[in-house]
Amino acid sequence: MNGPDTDKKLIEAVKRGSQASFEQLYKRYKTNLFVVCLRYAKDRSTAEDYLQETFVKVYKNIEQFDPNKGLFEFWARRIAINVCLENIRSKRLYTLSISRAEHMEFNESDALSQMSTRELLDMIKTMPVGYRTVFNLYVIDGFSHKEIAERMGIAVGTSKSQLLKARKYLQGLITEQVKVLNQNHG
Amino acid sequence: MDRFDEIWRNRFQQDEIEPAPWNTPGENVWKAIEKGVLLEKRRKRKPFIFLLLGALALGATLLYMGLQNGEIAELTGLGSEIGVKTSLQSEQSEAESSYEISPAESKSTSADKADGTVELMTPQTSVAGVPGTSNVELESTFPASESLTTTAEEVASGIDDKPPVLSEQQPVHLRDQSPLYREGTGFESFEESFFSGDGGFLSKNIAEVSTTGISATEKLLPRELSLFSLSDIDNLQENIHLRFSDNTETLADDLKFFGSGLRSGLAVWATSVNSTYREDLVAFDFDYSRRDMGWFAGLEIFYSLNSKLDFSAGFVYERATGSSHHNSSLKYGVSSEDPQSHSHNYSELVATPFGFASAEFSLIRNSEVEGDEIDLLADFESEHTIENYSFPLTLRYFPLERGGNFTPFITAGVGINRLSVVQNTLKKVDPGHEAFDFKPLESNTNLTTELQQTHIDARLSLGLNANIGENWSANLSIEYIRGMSKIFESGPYYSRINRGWVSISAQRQLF
Repeated sequence: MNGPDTDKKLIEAVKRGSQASFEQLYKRYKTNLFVVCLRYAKDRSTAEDYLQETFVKVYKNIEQFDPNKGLFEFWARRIAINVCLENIRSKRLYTLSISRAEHMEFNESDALSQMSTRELLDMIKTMPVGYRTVFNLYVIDGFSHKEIAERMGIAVGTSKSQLLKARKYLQGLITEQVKVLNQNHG
Repeated sequence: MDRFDEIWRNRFQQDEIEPAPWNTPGENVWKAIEKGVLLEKRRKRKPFIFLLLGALALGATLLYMGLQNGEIAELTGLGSEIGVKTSLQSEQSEAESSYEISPAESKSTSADKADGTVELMTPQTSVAGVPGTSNVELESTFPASESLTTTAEEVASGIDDKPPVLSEQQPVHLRDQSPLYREGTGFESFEESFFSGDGGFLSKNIAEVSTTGISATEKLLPRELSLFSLSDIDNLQENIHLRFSDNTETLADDLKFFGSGLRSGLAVWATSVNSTYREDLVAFDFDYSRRDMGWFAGLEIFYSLNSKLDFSAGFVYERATGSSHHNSSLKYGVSSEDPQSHSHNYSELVATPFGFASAEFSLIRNSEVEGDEIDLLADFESEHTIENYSFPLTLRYFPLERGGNFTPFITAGVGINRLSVVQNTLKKVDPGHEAFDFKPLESNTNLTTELQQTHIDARLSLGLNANIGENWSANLSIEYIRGMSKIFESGPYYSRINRGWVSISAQRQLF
């Protein structure tokens, strides 16, 4: 039985009140959704809170999910992102960084592709919250600047500038890491 | 999108992220989610609870109103009785006589005039010390007047000539000593005695008090002979009639009573699965299910509406055990098996008519097989134990009035049910391949909760009722209970529980 079929049956069961099926869904998607939460959260504990809230919202709104209109994972991922944004906004975490990222040329894409997901995530987590949020929304989760501006309550230009700074910040981190690696190998 | 963005997006969106400690949430997260889900369930249940409470309140109100009506009927009867007395007292008061008189063992008096045209029916009040009296003691400050004692002839002549008059200043106390006059029954005997007796006397005062006979002969009595207001008598008449009609109601009320009973019996649970779907086998496909056997016991209260109809409400506990089967496909990977035991552990959702049961078991490879991945078509056999609480509301109809040795009855009603415990045991997995053996890993598993625990049924029964003693009766009945709501649904399937009961019960009339 493939994933979507299993999802469909589990979701139907959850809609009828099956907690066991909901647990199955949790087990199937906890990793992917936790990574989403880790990307937005400042630390692991906060990410766990976001994940918990995400699944409670999934349960609460499961009746609205139509398996024929899309994959559960995408729907749940959107919920997770919303949960993260709501928390970030409610806690006034959008103190958009005004620190200037050093302008660096990025030509280390090979180095980037060789890094593990966890290393990438660790880099994301080191960014200021404004950079991190815009970067996650635009680059990874595919939102437009207009959508980001609406969701975060900022100007489109601010979203663009935050993204630019986030990119440069990450490029700087990667370049430094490459330098360290080269020194170690040299 | 430039190369930089693409790498990030692919890494987090499209590439499969393998579970690892860093991306696995702690155990406490699921516990917190469960709590959150529980709260959400409670929130969702609130409207249902309010509906249930509303229904209970409505039922209680109706029951209360029914009881009130019963009490009102009784009070009405009492009131009319009081009304008669009051009227009597009123009549006495109007006469400004201070006597107290009670309708005693009165007998109708028939006074035939010579021409036979007038028939007077007056009550006879026996007066102590007066000829022809026995039970009534006259308490008087003056000697018994002959106006109080008269013959039929004297009555007739007295009416014509000189109406017997008691001095208003001469109080007469007639105290009823008759055992037939007592609260609640005195007027019944009065009525009987009034219309059946003969002889007696007539006096103004007596006539005013002993009214019924006179009013009954009102049309026969010449107006000028009336020594009392006919309108007053009319009022009394109404009271008397009301009283008589209340007597009838009292008799009917005797057929209304509350009772309670104990009930127990054998139950057959037939869980009907609506589909015979047999396409590609997946984990949720049912094959078939069997009937479950069990027992039940309960309590009921009933209210007898009349000699032919009861309303009852009860509480019944049921327990049944049965088995079901289904097929499912399993894969056995030889290269990924446990090298020591040559086995694979499985954690499957096993389909039963009562929902999915999580089951853990192991398949042990006992000989070499060809290929690395073996597709198995496994037969699962599950045994389940179900506990159910039901709250039946039924009407019981006796086509023949109850009271005989064996009175047939038919009942119809609805039941509100709650499945409380459903346990499943995976008894056997036949992998359909002789190279593999089944080994259970977990003896009991609770069914998953996609089960609709609350379900409604409609019920119909036939039975016999027998009196087995004062206020006690026994019933033997056969009942068919049809599930009206689904207890489980998945894709093309849904399950309903139909039950058959054979029961015996004992009932006692309480009040």
